[in-house]
Amino acid sequence: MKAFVKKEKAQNTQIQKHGLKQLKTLVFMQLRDKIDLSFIKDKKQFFRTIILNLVKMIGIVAIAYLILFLSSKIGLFSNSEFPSIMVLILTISLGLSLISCTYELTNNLYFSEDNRVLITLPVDANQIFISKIIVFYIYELKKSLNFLIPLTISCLLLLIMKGFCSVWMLFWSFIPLIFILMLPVLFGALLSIILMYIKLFLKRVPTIQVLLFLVLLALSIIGIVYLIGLIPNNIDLIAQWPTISRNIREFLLQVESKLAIMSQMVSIIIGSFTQRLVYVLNGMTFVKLLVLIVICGILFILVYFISRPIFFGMMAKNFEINKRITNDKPNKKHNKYFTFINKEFKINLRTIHISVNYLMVYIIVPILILFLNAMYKAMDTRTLGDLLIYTFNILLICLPLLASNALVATYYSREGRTGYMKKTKPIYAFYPLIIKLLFNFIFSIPTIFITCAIFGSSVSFNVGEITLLGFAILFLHLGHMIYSANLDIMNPQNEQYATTGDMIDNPNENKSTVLAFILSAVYALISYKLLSEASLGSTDGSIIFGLVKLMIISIAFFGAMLLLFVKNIKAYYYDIQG
Amino acid sequence: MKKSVIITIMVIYILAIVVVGFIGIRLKVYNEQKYVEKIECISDGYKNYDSTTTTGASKIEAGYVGYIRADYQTGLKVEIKCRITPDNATNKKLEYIVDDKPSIYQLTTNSDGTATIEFFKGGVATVIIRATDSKQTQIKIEISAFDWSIIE
Repeated sequence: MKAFVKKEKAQNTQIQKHGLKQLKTLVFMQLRDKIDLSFIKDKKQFFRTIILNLVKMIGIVAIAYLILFLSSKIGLFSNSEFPSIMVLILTISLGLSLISCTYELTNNLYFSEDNRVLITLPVDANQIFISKIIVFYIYELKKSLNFLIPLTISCLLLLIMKGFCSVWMLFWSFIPLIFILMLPVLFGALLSIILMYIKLFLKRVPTIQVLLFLVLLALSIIGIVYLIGLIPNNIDLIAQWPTISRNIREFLLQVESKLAIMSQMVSIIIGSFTQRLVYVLNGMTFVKLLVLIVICGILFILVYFISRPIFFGMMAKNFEINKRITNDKPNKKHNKYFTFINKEFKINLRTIHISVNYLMVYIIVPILILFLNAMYKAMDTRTLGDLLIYTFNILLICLPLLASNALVATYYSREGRTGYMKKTKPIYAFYPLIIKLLFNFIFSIPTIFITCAIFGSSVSFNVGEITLLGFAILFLHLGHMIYSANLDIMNPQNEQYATTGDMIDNPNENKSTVLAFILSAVYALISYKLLSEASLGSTDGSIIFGLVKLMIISIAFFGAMLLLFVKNIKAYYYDIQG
Repeated sequence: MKKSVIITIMVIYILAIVVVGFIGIRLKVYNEQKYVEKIECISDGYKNYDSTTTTGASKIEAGYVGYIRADYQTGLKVEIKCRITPDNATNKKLEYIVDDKPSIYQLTTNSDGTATIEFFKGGVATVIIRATDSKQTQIKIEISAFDWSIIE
């Protein structure tokens, strides 16, 4: 009997071990689709990636530390307000994470293409669900290395430097953060159910989708107009500094008192404030950590019992082909050039959730610039101030516009396995590839010119100057758009999109974003130099001369990118195949 | 757009406002001490000495800028009102200095910055009106009360 129990126990342990192994395999399999893990195999590359990421994180910590240090030096907040800053950072970070997790989990749990593959694997269906949540959590941990963790470290470093807590707090802070970062994933998993039903409903009634979009747009415009109305007639930061500083301190205190839950989380990270005026870990800190772990556990159980059945339901639905073709239309022969335009137009309409990404940017940019210039108008600036206004306007027009091109770096890969069909089409590949950028480009034209008109009118540019600036930014935008498309041609991710339907950590997107930042900064600096020369010059129309130079630079950049694009198409679509 | 990109753009946006607000605004001197540069008497009946006349020229040479003449009657009070330049001088307070002649007149300073000189009999008072922030800014005027009853 004893032998039998022992055998059964051993069998159970083996099953558990096997289950864990399967879960690990599932997690790694899906992680490989989301994060480039190729560096693990190569020792040299492994160390290089680790060091690079470490340097990146140290850089972010240093910048954040410097900003916080300078802010405390100019009296923006005092040492006692650091926990309030941490509450603010944690709230913003977790809030944004919750939004992105809810949106991405909706797609990854219920509408993902890889569900079709995963359901066929010889594993327990529950493991698939848990593996998806774990993958998402690991990805959330990775993302936190860019924002929440470095900012927390910089806050802690300041507290350590000022003698408010010990160095050990740096190591301790990682333990509560591991649990805190579970919250947006688990809450996101619960909220994704609601979002999934909303998505299904909107898919069925597209008119409401459009109406909703218009209502949101109208509300945001009303909100901005209201905010512009609130801007005082005279902004003098130096003269009003005592008032501003006091208001910021009051706001921080409000944040800490109103967001009590976040304050408790911060108190787990930095410990409790004692009578000796230092933050230390005490019994209460551990009790709070325990409560946090229990909350995470309860949330996980809720997710497991509420989301899991819906996930399986959606997974099964996804697997079945339930599309009905109601109206069989005979094939109509179109002009081969028009066919691609028509195709892209239909794709843009059918994947409106993707197109909305750049459309939102095109709507938000003019509003942002309008608000920025309303603030500047209330300031009595000198020549340096005017030049800085030009520079910041150009920087803040270019930044979101170019950063939105990260989406372009996924256009060709999003076609999945059908992307390769381009090579079989009876037309030179340049045409269908460039047409893919057409609608993005068309929508960007009014945005750029409206934004330049808003900026130009506030700095008294004439129509000619506004038009020149508009074309300069348009060519820069187009150049970067083509560069992003180039990245996708050189390093296609079709397989990843074919399996998961989406890719969270696309290297092309990252490269495009990095260049967007560098390019915008360099372009703003060049414009500062050119426009400062122009404003110092005595001849009339010197601003025009500066803007012409700026446009020549943009055209040169655009030309170079276009040439590279053509060469790459020739290389990747024709020459490599021989 | 990624979370980190949105946050970075937001930070740059705020920095753009703060940088222009701090280093781009027109230079101003805060808490500047503005001194009284000029004092002018604006009392009723006040007149400046005319430098083209012999008396006027000699008075100007003696440091006087103007005068007030009144006929003495019992309880005669002459109000000394002044205008200072610039209007927004930090310390607008003036001091009134007269020779001590309590049998002829008495000077009292009012809370609104003016002064009143009360004559007890006919006579002449030399009043120096001086800015309290800068001792160099001052005017000297002559106030005379002529008692016609002496002639009668």
